[in-house]
Amino acid sequence: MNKLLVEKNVQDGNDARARFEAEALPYLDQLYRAALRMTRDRHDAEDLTQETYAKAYSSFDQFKQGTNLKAWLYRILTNTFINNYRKAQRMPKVSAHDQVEDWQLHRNAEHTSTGLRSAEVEALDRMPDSQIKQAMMELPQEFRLAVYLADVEGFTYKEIADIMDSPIGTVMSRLNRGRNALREKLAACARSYGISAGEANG
Amino acid sequence: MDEGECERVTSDVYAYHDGALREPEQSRVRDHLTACPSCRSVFEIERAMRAAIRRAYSREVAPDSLRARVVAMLDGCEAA
Repeated sequence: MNKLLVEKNVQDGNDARARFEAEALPYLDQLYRAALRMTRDRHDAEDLTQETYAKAYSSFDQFKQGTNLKAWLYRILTNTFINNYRKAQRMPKVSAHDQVEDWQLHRNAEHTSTGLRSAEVEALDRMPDSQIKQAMMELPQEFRLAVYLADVEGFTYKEIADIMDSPIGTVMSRLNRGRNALREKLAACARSYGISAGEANG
Repeated sequence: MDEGECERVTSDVYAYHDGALREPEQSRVRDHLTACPSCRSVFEIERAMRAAIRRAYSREVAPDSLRARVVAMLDGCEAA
């Protein structure tokens, strides 16, 4: 290889590094948060996030400029999570903990938070972050991720289907059921807060 | 208010907030909400739910040590 070509490769490498740092690193907080939802453990979430960045960096040349970098990173995160846990056989496809009877998710096919009074809507605004996260955490794994990606990260149905490598119909059904279950939990919390706030105000 | 129409409109509450409705459904929902306080309240609750859920995670940031680890990994790697 001649000297000019070597210099060019070094320059390309530096450019890729600079571009990766400028474009991919800003998603660190978001990817870490998603990793926390998957692993439910801070230490595992840090490892998963770092591994995601390592994989993303080593295949950054395969990323098509101008397409959705955020969704691409999330797909790597999700695949890495699934592969790691399958390898370790720590996570059966559906763990016992995640099996939620259909009646629990279908109980309220209609929107369950209807009937919240304005005091309870205010209670929702004041609800501690920890309580909302707890309600999300209690959702079965496959619903939790879909709901998180839609409600927190604002991904479209198509993007979630790509990230989770699932048909869009499956994603929409999980999303619908997961959202109903989450909102039912939050409405119940808000109702109890709303009632106690009402009592406190006489 | 036509109960069937209320049912149809509230079944679109997620899609509406996701920005996933197309015309003419989008306008149909919007027109119905202008006229129906009960459905409007369902949609306002959904908006409050989303705001609360998003807010709950907005303060959660990656630890500095993780950021340092990722940058160190980039430093140690050959670029792609």
